[in-house]
Amino acid sequence: MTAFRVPLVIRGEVIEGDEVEFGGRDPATRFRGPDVARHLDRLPLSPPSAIADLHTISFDEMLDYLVELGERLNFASNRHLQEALELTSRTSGLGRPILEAVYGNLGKVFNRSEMREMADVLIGIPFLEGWVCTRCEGPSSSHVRAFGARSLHVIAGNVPTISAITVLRNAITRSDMIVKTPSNDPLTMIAIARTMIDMAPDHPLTRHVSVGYWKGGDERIERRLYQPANVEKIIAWGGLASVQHISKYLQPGIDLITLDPKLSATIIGAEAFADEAAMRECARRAALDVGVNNQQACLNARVIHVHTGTDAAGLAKANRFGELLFAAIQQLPATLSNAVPALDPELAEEVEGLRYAAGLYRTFGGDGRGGVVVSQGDEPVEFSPLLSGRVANVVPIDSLDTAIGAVTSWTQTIGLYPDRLMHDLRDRLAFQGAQRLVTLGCATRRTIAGPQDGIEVLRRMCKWILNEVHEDDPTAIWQDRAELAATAS
Amino acid sequence: MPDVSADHPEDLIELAQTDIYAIPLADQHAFQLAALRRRFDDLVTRIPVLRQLAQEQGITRIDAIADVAPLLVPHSALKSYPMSFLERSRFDRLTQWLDGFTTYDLSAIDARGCDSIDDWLDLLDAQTPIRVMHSTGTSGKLSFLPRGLPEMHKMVTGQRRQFDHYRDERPLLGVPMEQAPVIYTQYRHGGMAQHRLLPFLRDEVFGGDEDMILATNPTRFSADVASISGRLRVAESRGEAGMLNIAPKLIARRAAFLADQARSGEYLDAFFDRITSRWQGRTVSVMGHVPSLYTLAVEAEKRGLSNLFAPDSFVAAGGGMKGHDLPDDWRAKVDRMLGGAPLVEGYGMTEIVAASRECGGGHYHVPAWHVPFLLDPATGTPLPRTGTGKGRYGAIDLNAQTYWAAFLTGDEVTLHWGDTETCPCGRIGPFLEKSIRRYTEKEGGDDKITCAGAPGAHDRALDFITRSAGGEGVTA
Repeated sequence: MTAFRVPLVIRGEVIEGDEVEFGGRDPATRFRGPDVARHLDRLPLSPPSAIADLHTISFDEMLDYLVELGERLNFASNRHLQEALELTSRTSGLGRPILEAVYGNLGKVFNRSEMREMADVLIGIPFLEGWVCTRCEGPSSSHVRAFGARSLHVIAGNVPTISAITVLRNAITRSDMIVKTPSNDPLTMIAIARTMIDMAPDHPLTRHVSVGYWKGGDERIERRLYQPANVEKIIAWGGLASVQHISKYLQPGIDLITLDPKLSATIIGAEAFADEAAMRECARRAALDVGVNNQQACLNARVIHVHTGTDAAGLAKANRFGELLFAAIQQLPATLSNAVPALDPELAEEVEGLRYAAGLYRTFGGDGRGGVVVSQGDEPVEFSPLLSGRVANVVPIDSLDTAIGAVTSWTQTIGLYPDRLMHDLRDRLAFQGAQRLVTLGCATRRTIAGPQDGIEVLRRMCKWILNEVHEDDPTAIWQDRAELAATAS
Repeated sequence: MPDVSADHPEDLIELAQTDIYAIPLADQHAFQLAALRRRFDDLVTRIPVLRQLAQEQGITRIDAIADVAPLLVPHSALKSYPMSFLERSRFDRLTQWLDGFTTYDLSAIDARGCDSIDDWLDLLDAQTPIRVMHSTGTSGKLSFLPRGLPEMHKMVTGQRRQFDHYRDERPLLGVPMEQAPVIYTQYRHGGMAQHRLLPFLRDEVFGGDEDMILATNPTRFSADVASISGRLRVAESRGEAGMLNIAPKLIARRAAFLADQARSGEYLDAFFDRITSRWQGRTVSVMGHVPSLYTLAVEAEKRGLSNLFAPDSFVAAGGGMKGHDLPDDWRAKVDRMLGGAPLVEGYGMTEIVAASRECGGGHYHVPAWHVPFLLDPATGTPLPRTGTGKGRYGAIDLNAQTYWAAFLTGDEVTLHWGDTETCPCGRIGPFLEKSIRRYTEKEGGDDKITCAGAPGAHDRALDFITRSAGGEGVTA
């Protein structure tokens, strides 16, 4: 019998009992919860117009609610979050010290000025508060308002913060949401929903959040739920793993927003290798991009292109940089990054194999501490998509074009050094497919008041309603108009 | 202990099953230690990879079987060359790399003229005693094992020995091996382990009679196509940029392969004709695995064919159903096609000359020429060689004299060392439970969602999109 219980939350009500078992093969990560199929009739918002109550709240009232929620998401006193940590510390690739720090900072997502900035930059608060005149030309005017939608979120579980961001996005867009949680973190979103219920059980923002776990692809649930009559927007993290189930049910009336899995890279210019001090500073910056949150996120650096050249002198610099990078990774504070008991087995096997490639690669570390594989030529290792657990691949290049050519639409973030490169390269990197360019060392500091993966997620989550007013007379085209006027008088 | 010298451990596989599994455990261990010493001393100076590994580990001699554990080589070593060797046709460099794994001197082989992997394999076949065996890498990178002619002959012996009668167990094959044609559910030719075995079976078992080998496709399984398919999948997922690394000539070959694939129905017609005209209802030996048997069963059904073979035929079904997604009725369809012969599961790997077949007690037994190791999956530390343990499996094949056949798998196994418990079948020695799985099968089921990832997922995405579009079409 497993210890973890994951209730179902439907519109302010916590549903327990009648439980079935879920999760992976490891008994330590299994959990029990109600069968969502038995509660399916209550899950969608019905009737759709019941979303109206969210639109009567002012933006400031909404911020008041969210700020208070942030305060209550205080890890030291919030038992729901404490329970969630117990489970995620078993399922997550983040070590416990990192998770404690992540949960400790969860409430900070609901910072008033940042939330205001996010809503204003990404949507424009007036559009959320009411109708905005967007065009006024003679007798004609257009008015636009962003309305909430009935949405369903399939969220990722590699970092608990995703749950808090999802709550925030749903509130700001005044949407109704059903969250399907992942097996690697079924409890964090439940913990936040329960905190909302403890705080304000009848508040519209509380009552427009439902959270449940079912195994992705469960047709009993998904066939009935993924219908335009029930949801208008599906926001799916995780790419194919989640989308392949959903796409069966796509039809006009359902807007699918996919936040696909991504990988990130680094390009370091020749300046960094001018002397030992510069190299050391860049190694520390790169260590942050690689190591924060144990390289579990899409924005962590994996392949690091270094503009050292590939001649003997260049390789010597690249190898020295690799050594410094590995050392810097080891020195990251435990709340940001830590050694793991073992690397992912598939990655470990690939790294082990490199020892047999006679001088084609140089490896520093390469175990639970992480590692740095320095290619002795301008090619990354083929298994670079597997890099995780603080393992980076340093690739020396003769020309920045090589690094630019390696960028694809699956490259999310590129850390750059020095900043000068940003101005020289950013358009080209964007043409190649990159979605975010950032100063080296700051890849993991993403602002939430910006686009994600090349998408304006918040704008797409809204329904954009147009109201046109024309004060001139469209029937003026009829010739008899003057006669009619005469007759009338 | 039978009269086999530890100086020639490759002779052990010649023993009948009844004899090899009757060797007392203490004798097995003594033989294995002596044989390991002999192999290590002989090969450490002749195989660069082993020499380097031994130096790194500070190992100069073998005093106990467990001393060999740090010398186990991971599978990934066999594909540790850079992909650009294939992409840029650097077969000279690939030859140098391969030279590190074999006792044969490849320094005089001039592979600069090769423009494809198939060419390169042909060159090595023609000019060396090596018969390279390759894998199919999903990313397009193939692993290469340099098996020599001495081990090729041992593969034939391994095939022969699996049909030995063991006590009161039902024989795996109802007639002498020489009388049962090989039904092969793949391409007749190619460079993978079974392709390599077929000509040796033909010559050493069937007196050179090609009619005794019936393959579903008479053509060659091209290593280049295997590699390009994988590389294209990755390249397509990356857009144009990745495509540029593949020479147009090779893309053209893939088109030829697809054209050949279009003839597969014709080939199957001919295959079934050969069976019905000569072998219907007779005893055969089927080399297959569950997915290919199922595909074949569907094709047989389309043609109104059933009960193709005698119930005392041998049907190798690979590792069973593990990891395959087949319709619920797959077994009924396969049984209907075969006509009552049981499916026999086995555990083996390219690096070991013969697979272990499931015994009457439901286990895979490890013959004395195959020395097992069990390692802690996280630390790589050898686990105690007694009782029952669960861990990462490693093995040394004592048959190998031209390469260092000490490999570390990615498999999690439960191994009984045979000292505290014995299998009800009566075989002496270590045995494996059938619950073998890859460590890479992810924990936590298939519902873990993460924001980090890429090409691997894109491969699946492309497969998925192709399937959704309802077409087989490849947009090259």
